[in-house]
Formats: sequence, structure tokens, C-alpha cells
Amino acid sequence: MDIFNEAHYRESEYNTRRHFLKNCISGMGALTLGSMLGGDLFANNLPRPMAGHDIPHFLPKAKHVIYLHMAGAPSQLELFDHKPVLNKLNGQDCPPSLLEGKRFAFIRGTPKMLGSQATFKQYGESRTWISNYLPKFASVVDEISFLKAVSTEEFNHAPAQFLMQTGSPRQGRPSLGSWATYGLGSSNENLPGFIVLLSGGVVTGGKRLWGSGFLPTVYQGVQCQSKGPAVRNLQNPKGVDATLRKQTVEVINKINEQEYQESRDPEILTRMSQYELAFKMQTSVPGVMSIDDEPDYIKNLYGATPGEGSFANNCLLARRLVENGVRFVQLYDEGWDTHGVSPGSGVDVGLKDKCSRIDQGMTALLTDLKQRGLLEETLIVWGGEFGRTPMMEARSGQGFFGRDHHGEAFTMWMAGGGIKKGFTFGETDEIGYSGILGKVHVHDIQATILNQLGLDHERLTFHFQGRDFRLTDVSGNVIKDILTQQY
Amino acid sequence: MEIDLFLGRFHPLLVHLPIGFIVLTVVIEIIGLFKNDKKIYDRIVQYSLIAVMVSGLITIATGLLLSQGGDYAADTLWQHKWLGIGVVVFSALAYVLKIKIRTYNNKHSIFISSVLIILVGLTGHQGGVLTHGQDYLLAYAPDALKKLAGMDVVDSNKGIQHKNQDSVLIYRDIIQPMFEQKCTTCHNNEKQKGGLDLTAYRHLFIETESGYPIVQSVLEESELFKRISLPLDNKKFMPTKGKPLSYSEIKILDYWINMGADSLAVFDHKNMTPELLQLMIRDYNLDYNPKPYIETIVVEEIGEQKVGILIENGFSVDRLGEDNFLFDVSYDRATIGEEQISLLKEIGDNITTLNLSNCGLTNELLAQLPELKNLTKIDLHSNPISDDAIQQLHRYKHLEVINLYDTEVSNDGLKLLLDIDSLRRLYLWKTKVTQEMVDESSNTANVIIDLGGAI
Repeated sequence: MDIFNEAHYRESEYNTRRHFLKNCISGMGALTLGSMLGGDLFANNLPRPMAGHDIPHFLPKAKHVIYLHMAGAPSQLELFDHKPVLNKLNGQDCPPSLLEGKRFAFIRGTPKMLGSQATFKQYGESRTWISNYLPKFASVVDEISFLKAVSTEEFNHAPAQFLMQTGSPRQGRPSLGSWATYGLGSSNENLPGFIVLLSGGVVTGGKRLWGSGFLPTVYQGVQCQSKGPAVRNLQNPKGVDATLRKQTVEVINKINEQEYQESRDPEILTRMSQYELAFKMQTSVPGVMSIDDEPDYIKNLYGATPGEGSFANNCLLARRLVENGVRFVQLYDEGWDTHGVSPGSGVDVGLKDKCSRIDQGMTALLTDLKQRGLLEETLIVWGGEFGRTPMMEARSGQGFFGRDHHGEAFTMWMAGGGIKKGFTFGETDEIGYSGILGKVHVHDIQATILNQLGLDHERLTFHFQGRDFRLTDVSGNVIKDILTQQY
Repeated sequence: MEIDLFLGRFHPLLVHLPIGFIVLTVVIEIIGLFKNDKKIYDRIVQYSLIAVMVSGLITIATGLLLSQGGDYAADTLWQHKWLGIGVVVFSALAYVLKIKIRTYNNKHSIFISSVLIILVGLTGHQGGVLTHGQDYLLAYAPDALKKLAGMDVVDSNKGIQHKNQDSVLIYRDIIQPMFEQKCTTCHNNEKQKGGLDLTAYRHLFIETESGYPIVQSVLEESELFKRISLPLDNKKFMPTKGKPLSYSEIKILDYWINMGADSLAVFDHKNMTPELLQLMIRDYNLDYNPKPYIETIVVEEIGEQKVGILIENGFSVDRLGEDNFLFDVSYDRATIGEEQISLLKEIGDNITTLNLSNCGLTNELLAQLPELKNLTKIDLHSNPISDDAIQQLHRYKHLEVINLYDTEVSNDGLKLLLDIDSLRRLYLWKTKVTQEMVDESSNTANVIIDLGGAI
């Protein structure tokens, strides 16, 4: 629509019924209320939508979260969960007792057991088992708490990702990062509180994974990129400079303010602060999002190359964002769905190759945060949306070392911000099929993340459609076993 | 050889014989009520009554032998004895009546059956009271039933988890309830097995048949502790019946006796083993680990105006919880001056974490930093500060974390830093401090020093 059409449309809008109803009713209401309270009601004291709760419920152990989501779900059996018995059973038929009443995404009939394709060794003072797929990461295991028996009910990517990130398998709920920023606000007014970085392709769950659901949209994740412009659609159009842009935003916000005073729609406040934030981000984001000024030894540490959209670059960016006060940094790395439908796409070559692309980056992230003293105030979470079966999937009759989706037991890890170092919680059975000790659910992970930020997951609620909603719905227990006393 | 006790202990076994025959008698008698030809039923009843008498006499004999062993509440024993004798006498009577009364009819039958059942029931109950104690039967009954039986109903909401952990008295809240659960069935006021009564604190120090139950601070001489910590199959092991004491309970007793077994003793982390600390969390949900300093600070509320001035001057000030007024303060602009630093004085007590990194802070400016009595963390990285500034940090008595990466601090500075008693973690990447120096000092100090990776 060009500007003339728009002007015409606007003019005709004054004659529509909808406009009459909306404007006149709220106008009348405001008029009456205004005269009742003595005039100066809508002075410039607008509520700040970003204010949210602002104050944590109790003393926080972490100020920031970096969540590394391996979308597609990596195999725990090739990375962390060492199962010698499964290796012995390699090639044998899966006993029917494991299949009865179970549903898998692709496995039909009787699959064969598949031993680990990786070799395991113990590392660190904690003697943690790590496979040869993650050689660099093996050097930092003493910083980490592993959760070996995480479970989820969902066995398809999108619902499982929604459950992991929003607490519900159906879309439309606010994401973890949105809840965190809703609870605490942003600690840098020039940057969004919740930033999302992608690598490896498009995430199955899509943009709703970092949506704000029914929370004001100011809390939704802002997707940034390390390749091309840091944030899309943020550059000024040709011929518009910063001063003009500032004036424009000021005028728009003045109009918006009038609109707000008439309709009291909180979404207008969100829009206003988004305009302001976007304007500030035009100068702040390109600076933070450029890794060019990092010294070479840091770039080498991460294996980062400026201009790439790699996981390594995103790890480095995550550190920079946290350093600049961003509350929640969410990384998605797509491409972990190792079904083995063709040679080289299973948990043998395919997974090993994928691991080699994250090993250095995530290890460097831990090392770099630690040497800057940031690890103790930043919670790092790593995991997929579910795990993989101990059985081989052979979709076309022939299998290529693929594993199907498996939600009953998989490994996640946490580090930093008040988490025990060199610790393992939970245990799976001899073949890694289900958890036998220290079982935790997705909601427990979420409760724990909020807890480290000083938020009580049962008290962080939002009233919507007649009831209070919370991230963990009606479940979730903080996993106290992996927490330290340390602040 | 104590043949009498040997035979006596067959009493609880043999007692089921007469009970069984009585039940048989009554059942057959009742079936007979509905039959026209009662002859065969009457015969069976007669035989079984004889069986009751014979087995009853043997039971009485063994029972009398067992009662010689003492250890039983006298009143209940008397009742049990005479009720038992009564059962045998009454069954003899029933036998005679059955034969002699010509007009023996259904009414007689019902009367005799009822008396037999009531008598044997009462006797059995008293026997149960003798071996298991008064409260055994209804200990786990629903509260309504307990009230009906005139027992005290313990309000389960008054459990230990609802108490402030600092007001938990070891004896009153843990040991005494444990005695009541596991020991006082036999060791009570009435039935003092071995001469031991565990119903009241004062009895714990009175000599019993085998010694003093508890000798304050001397675990080895405390007979009670010896008995509960013996191997399970030792014949002196206590308790002989029911659940043994749990590992936590034994450890708590151990701790309490060693601490002097005072009735008002409380837990104190200073003399608790790490194991006991963990057990208390696991089994009692009581965490006696020393609280981090930050959790113990109580400071007054600060008005928004004071905070506002700081924010205007380039600080960000974050509250650290709804339940406290602690602040996390950081300076966000590129250069800091005396003026900004002096502003910190206004909210000095409330600042627990302070970030003055990367803002051109010099030794001189650091010296201007006011008294911050609750400061636990300070981040001074990427500033032109050197060893001379370290002395300034000695003013902060609760400083646990110091971040000095990317400064000019050297080995001399590290020595000064390690003199800060409260220090726990130290970040010294990109400084002049050497690995050798860190290796040397980490032997002596309880401080985690991070020198970072090589550049």
C-alpha cells in the first residue's frame, strides 16, 4: 500500500462502525473517568512494560542463562551414557518387553539392539565417562553436572521442543527466556533481554519456540544472526540518518501514547518500548554482534570465523551478550536427528561429524566464561528435546546405524551459576533405555533454571483467559541434588 | 539350664491350639443351629471341647512358666492368667452342660458360644498387650478410631518439618519420639524390661541391670548406644522386635551423647560431621550447613530516590530478592570518577555485589571507595589497577570473590589478596601473576584461583 492509498484508507476508516465503537466508547469512558478523578488523569506516568516483576523472589545464584539446544536430539548413547552391556547385545533382537505398549516415531516391528558407535573414556577428577566424539569437551567435565535420566512424553521434534522450551507440547505458551525476562527484566536497557541465535538450519518448532505467548510481546526472543545484518530489518532506509530516525520514533511514540490513553491497550506500551529499543539497538547491537574486534587467541579458542553463521560464532556471541548484560541467550543448533536413513547419516559418521562442529565452541564458551569470572553467574544448559533409542532404526528394511526418537531417558547437562561441579545425577538401566535413579522431567529442568535466577516457578505466573498460567503448569520440582550453596 | 523358660516360651506358639479348637467348636455349634438332625454336630462339638480343655491346660502350664521370667506388667498378667484359666474352666462347664441339660436348645447354644468367643477374645487381647504393649494394636488406626478408643491423637501437622530448624531440640523432637516409636513398648514405666524405662529423660541416667543407659559424653560406656549399634544377629541387639534404629537415628544418638546428652541440646554445624549434615537433610529435611554470609545479612530498605540518583549517574542497581534489600550494583559507563564513587556511600550497607569493571578505575579512585560492610563480590577487571590497590580491599571483611582479570596485579598483589580471610575465589587471567606463584599459594590458602587459559 503506498502512502496515498494509506491516507485514503485512514480517512475512510473514520466512517467505519468499528472505529466508532472503539473510539467513542473508550473516549466516553475516559471522559467520564477523567472528570470523576479531577482531570489530570493521564499525565505522562506511563507504566513500563519491561518492568515486569524486576525483583527476583529470592537471592539468585545466576544472573544470566545460556541455553544450548541441540535441535533434532543428539544420541546420549554416543556422547555421555556409557553402556557396555548394550555393546554386548549389539545386533540382537530387542526383547518384546521393551516394545510392549510403547510408541516410536519410526520403529516398527522388532528392531535390533545397537551398541554405541563411540568409544568411551573417563576424564577429569570426577572420572566422568565421555566419548571420543567430544574430545575437547572432555577437558572441562569437572565444571559440569550431568543429568543422566531426563525424560519427556513427546517423541516428535516440534512438540518435544515446545515442551522443553515453553512447558507445553502445544504452541502458544511463552518460552523459557520470555518467562525469565518477564520475571527479571533486562539488565541492559540498550539490548533485548532475550536473544536467540541459530545455526545448522531451521529449527523444526520454528519461531514460536522463542515467542512470548500470552505475555506482552516485549518479552519475546529477538533473533540475531552472526552472518549478514545482526538483526533483520533494523537498518535505516537509504537517506534516513540516525537523527531523523530518532525524531520519527519520537513522533510515532507520541501518537502511540495518545492511542494508549484512549484505549489502555497494554500492547501499545509494548510497541512503544519496542520502537525505543529498536532505535537503541541500531547502535548497540552491531557493536555487540561483531566479533571482529575479538583478539585472535579468542577466535581461535572458539574456532570462530567472522561472517559465518556457525555454532562456534554463536558461542562467542553468547559470551559477548552475557558480558553486556543480556539475561537469556538461547542457541539452537539444528541437525542432530540421526535416523540413519542413508549411509553416513546415523550415529556413526553423521553424529561424529556433527559433534566436531560443536565440541570446540561449547568447550571454549565454558573456558572463556570461567576465566572472566562469568561462569559463576551464568547458568549454562545443554540438551536436545529428547534422546535416542538403544535400538537401531531400519526404516527401509536396512539400517545405517540410526537411532529413533526416545523420550524415556536422555542426558542433559548444566554448569555455572550455582550448579555442582564434576557431578552426575541420575542413572539409566544397563542398556540406557529408561532411568532407574534420579529421574527428572522437562518441567524439573525448567523449575531449576528459574530457581537459579532467583525465581520460584510456582509463583511466576501470568493471568490469562481466566486463570494463572506458569511455565511448569502444575508440575516441576527444583533438582536440588545438583545445586551448591555458593553464590 | 533354665528349662522352665525354655518350655515357657512355647506358650505363644501353643496358645493357638485352644483358640483354633474354640473357633471350631463355635462354628460347628452354629452350623448345628440350622440342622434338624443335630446329633453328628453335637458329637463334633463335644470332641472339640475336650481338645480345648487338653490343649488349654498345656497352654496354661507353659504360660505360668513363662510368667516366671518377669518382665511383664503385673496387672495385665494377672488378668490374662485368670481369663485363660477361665476359658478352660468354661469349656469344661460347657461340655458338662451339653451332656446334662436335656432341654438343650438353640438359646443355650448361642449363650455358650458367645461367652466362649468373648472370653477367648479378651484373653488373646490381654496376651497381645503383654507382648506388644498397650498401644500396639491401634498405633496406626485412623484418628477417629483412636479417639473412640480413648487414645491420644497426634496432630501430624506438628511434624518436625514445620519447625524452625534452629529451634529443634535433639532430645525432645527427635530422640524421644524415636524411643516412643521403637523402644517404649518394652521399656516403659509399667514394663521395665531389663530395668530400663525410656519414657522420660531423667531415667536415661539411672543404672539398669546391664549398666547405665547413657553416660554423658562417653559413648563407649552408654549401654543403650552399645545395644542399638550391635550387629543385627547379636542376641543383645536392641530392639529385639520391630524396626531397628535407622542409620541416621544411630548417628544422631551418637552426636547427642557425645555432645553431653543435654535435654535442651540443639544441632550445631561446627561439631557435626559432613555425613551427619547430609543425613539431616536427607531424612529430616533440616539443613544445618552454615549459611553463606549473604543469606544472613539484614539491612534496611533504601528509598527509590537514592537509587534513582545512582541510576542517573550511570549505575545500574538491581534488588536481589523480594525478601531482602540487598543490591547488585554495576557501573555501566566508560569512565568513572570520584563523584560517582562517592555516591555509593548512600547505599553502602546494601551493596553486596559491586561491578566497577572496565571503567578506567585507578588505584587512587579505588582508595576513595567507601565502607561497604556487606560486600561479598567485587569485579574490578580491565582497569589500570595494580598491587598498591589491593590493600584497599582488606577493608571489606566479607569479600568472597574478587575479579581482577586484565589488570596489572602481580605476584606481590596475590600475596596480599590471600591475606583476606573471607576470600574464596579469585580471577587473575591476563595479569602478571605467574602459575608458579599460584601453585605455591594454593597449598596454603583455601582459595580457588583462576589464572585462565594461555593467551
